[in-house]
Amino acid sequence: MSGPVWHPTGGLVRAVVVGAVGLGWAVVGGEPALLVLTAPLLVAAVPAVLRRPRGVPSVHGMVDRASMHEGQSAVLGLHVRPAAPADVEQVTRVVSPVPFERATPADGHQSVLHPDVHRDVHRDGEGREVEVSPRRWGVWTLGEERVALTSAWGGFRWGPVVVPGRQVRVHPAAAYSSRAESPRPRGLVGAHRSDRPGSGTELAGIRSFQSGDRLRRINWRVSARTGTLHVTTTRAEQDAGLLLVVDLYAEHGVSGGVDGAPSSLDLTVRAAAALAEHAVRTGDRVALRPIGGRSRPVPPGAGRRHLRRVLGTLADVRTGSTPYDDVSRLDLRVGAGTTVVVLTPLLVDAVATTAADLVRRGLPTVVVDTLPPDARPDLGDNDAGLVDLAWRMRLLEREHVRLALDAAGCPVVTWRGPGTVDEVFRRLARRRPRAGSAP
Amino acid sequence: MNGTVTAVRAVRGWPASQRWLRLVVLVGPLVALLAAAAAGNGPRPWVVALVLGLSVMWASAPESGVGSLALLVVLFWWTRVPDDALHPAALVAAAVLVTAHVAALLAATAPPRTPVDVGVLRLWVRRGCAVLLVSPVLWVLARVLRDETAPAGLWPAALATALLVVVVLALALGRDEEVG
Repeated sequence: MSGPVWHPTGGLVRAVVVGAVGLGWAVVGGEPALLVLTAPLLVAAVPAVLRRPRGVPSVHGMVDRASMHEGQSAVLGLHVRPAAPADVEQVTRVVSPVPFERATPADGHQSVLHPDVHRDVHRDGEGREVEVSPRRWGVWTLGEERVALTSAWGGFRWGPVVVPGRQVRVHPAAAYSSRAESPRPRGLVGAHRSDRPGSGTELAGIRSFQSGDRLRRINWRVSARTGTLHVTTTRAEQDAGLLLVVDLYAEHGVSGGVDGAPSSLDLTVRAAAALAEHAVRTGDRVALRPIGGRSRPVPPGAGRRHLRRVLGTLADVRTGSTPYDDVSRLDLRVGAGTTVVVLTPLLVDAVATTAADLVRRGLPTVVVDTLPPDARPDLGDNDAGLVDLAWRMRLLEREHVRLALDAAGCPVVTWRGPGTVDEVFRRLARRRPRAGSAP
Repeated sequence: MNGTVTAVRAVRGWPASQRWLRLVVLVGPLVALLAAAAAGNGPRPWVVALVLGLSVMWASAPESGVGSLALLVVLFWWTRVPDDALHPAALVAAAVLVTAHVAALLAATAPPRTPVDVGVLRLWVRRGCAVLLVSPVLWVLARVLRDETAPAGLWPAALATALLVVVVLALALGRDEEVG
């Protein structure tokens, strides 16, 4: 196997050729002016030749993160180990472009003296580190770069060689805060006010003392006034479940990354991540059920580790074309006390049917509309006018589906970031469960 | 036409430091050639055109061998200067040739979209100035000796001495240039 070797640079060849020709011509032709003109080049060539590197250096790259959120930055480390310390004078790095990635400085182009590669900050205070920042969620190979080394006096060059990158899971941005309570908490302990009495802090009422009541619950003021013992009752505080159903049938609109316009898939994934993070923070259980694409469901769970699993799964989702009939046979396995949030651009009727079915079973269900307002179909080779007409008809049908869902008791809200589902959750919490609803 | 537009767009995408380096590469050989006019041998238009063409190619591909050709054409023209060409303009020509050479060397170490690092630039400015010191020394020496009758074996001895000086200087500069 033969790897890259040190080869003379164009600069060295030029200095030697011009210097030698000038020197020879000056001597042979008696032209001292040529000596004056070319001697500096020859002087520059000699140390380059004398300090020719012999050994093969080793170059290793590294990325300081295995997972991150979109918009965050990772430092690309580079370790250059020359065979002899003086072999390498200058290191040139060019980060391979990756979709939705921003590399700094200068789009990941850097050429610095060897000791400066390992410095965080230059002696002048100028930033030194090469950083990459993925601008969109997903699983990306970050940190692949081409590296070339130059020896002392620019005499010899090694490479460029490709330094492989590292696969990094980029989680969707999930900034979300909500104070809305869960519609039907039904767990053991948690932060949500339940509709049944328990040992929480929320006042439920005052009633007569019964056998088994704790003495510390006695309301002495009311008892003294009425002459009989009364106790203060409170509501239980319970955790709740959240099932996120994400529609992966297709992506509508063009993604501009975390700084640009979102596609429907961007909105779906980011909204799901935000809701999952919020639910985990309040101690609720979260489950993820992708439909229509290539992704695995995540069973209910709570805690930071479970959240990482949900975010990791969301980062890896891909759109796909599962037959719509599969959705009708879909078993979402939704338990009591679970709120279902369906994140969809509402362009596949089967998804709306599923949501309506959940409502019929008495489960609190919210549909979050993730179709960006500026989404347009891909024209391809088709007639633009025809495609536009078809798209407008499709949007009309979609509006009809929205109204039908709303009429069936399934609120549809357009995702607009933090607070999107607050009002809907409050309304659902005020509703009483239907008789004969799902267990 | 499209090629020119594409090239202009590409150059606009380069950082200013890279554009300056390539401008120096482009202008250096031309200035060295025109300096011969001050020494008494103005270049013919076709020579200027030739050097200009070679310089443009050199500036666009600083690692290529075109640079050597451009410099050799300039040297050739300097051999046609009357007398021994030891005019002060030779020092100007030497300076711009070294500057163009160093600029090309710097430009060739990285793709055009890479900004030139300040540390690297400083190092090469120091080196350029150091190696350029050889020219005035040789120029003074040549002017002192030009009226003397050359004894037999003077030029071979001068060549050997020059090589020795070059090696000694190079070694001295090499030790001095432990970067970092």
